[in-house]
Amino acid sequence: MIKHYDVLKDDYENAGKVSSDIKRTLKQLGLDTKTLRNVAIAAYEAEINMIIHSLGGDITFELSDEGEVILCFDDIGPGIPNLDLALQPGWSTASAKARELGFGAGMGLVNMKRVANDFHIESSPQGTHLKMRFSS
Amino acid sequence: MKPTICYTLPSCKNCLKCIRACPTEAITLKNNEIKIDQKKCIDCDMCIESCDSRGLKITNEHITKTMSQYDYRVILVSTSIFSDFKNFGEAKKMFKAIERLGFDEVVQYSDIEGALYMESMHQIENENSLKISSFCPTINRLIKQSYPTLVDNLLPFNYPVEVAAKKVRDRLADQHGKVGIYSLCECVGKMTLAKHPYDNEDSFIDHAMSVSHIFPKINRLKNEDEAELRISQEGIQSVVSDFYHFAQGTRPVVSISGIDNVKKVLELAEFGHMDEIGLLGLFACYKGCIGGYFLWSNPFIGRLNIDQMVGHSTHHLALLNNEDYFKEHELIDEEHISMKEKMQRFKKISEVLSTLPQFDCGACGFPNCRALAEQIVDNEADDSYCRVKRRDDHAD
Repeated sequence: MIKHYDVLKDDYENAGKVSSDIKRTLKQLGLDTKTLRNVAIAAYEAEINMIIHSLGGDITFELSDEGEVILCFDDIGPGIPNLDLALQPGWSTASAKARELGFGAGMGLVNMKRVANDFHIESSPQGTHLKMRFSS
Repeated sequence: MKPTICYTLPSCKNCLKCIRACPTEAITLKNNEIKIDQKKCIDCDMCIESCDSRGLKITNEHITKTMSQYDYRVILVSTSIFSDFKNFGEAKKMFKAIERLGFDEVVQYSDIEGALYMESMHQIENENSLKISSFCPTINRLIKQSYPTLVDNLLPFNYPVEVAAKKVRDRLADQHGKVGIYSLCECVGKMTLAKHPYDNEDSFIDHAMSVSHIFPKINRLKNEDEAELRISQEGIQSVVSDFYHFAQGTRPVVSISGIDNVKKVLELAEFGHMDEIGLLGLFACYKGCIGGYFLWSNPFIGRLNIDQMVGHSTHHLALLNNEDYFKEHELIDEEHISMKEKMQRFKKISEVLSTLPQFDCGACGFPNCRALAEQIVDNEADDSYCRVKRRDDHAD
């Protein structure tokens, strides 16, 4: 099963709705609690990151027959200037507006890497591509 | 477990309001009959509140019939009942009148309530993740049912009314013959904790009854005699979801009331974005336990009465043994179905779902299109149940 979602830049009003849909779907499936928690945390972090930092893009949610979850976050730029820094806890470039809304604590990528079984990220000014795999 | 909320046929209009009101999708309408799935029901009373046609009823035991079984009868009065009394004098008279129903002792346990709530706030100091209070039976069931990823965040506390019942039982052991313990409840959730008729074998409470059922009776029995009352300020504040006023620790305590509000917060908590919060104090009813369905006063108005009572309360807590505070949560067994089988079923349901309108209008009698799709996959229904589809087919 594959589901695609479009994400718009600065769409704070709808922030979290894609992750909510993914979480709901996995609950309906009856995915085990531990994997469900990890997917929910990572999906939310990545979705919020995309809305705050990117120029927009799309999210792909894939569910294999074995119950493996693959999440892809592909945006159209502007890219993460220094990936090594971005993967350090507490490092953030979030705008004042995003911080006012309680986002941008600099733990996003750190948390995603912690909970995913596989974590792969590449970034250029043309876009950031993040792929995470979760298995139960 | 016996059902608490029952469907009564004669006045039901099949209007589907209860189905829409149910937060756990426990209610369906099939063959013109409302069915409540007891496994999914969390005893929140939203259905009965939503019903305009008196089609649902709460099963109340005939308490007077049970009382003759016991040599000594004790009634535990829930702290939120104070929202139904106009002033302190009235409260003292009403407590005396409860005794005249045939009880040897009337016990109010605000001091125990206070002790447990205060201890729950101490517990979070040594934690670094989000904790969730566990004093509302309905919320506990909601979390186990719909938010399984948060079960580990629930504090392992016992219910104040259970602790009160145990203390009474310990105090009266080997005295007065057979002791019967009754709990006077403000809500359906609390009623279901009792041994009878809900089959909770390890409960210390024998029977439960609702405030609304006995309130008119005690009002008639009331005279100028007054009972002695010593209300714990911590206890009475906790039932109006104000217990965070007493939070003195370093970690924030947030109180949320009303099942819709609670659900929104739990959705967010599942994303792991609340670790800066120490404790979520959750109440299924608006304004806390004073929003209980069995109380006569509206919680927003009843709050005024509580504020008056606070003026007559003092700071004191019950002295409890360490083991009285805690009780491990009983977990719902995870179904032993392989991932492959789960996926197969999921795919079938999704396939059927894609042929349904997905407006979730509920006119088929199931809470949403997905629930109907599940029924179709299980051969319990077919797509003629869908009124939107039938209309569209007709138009073609």
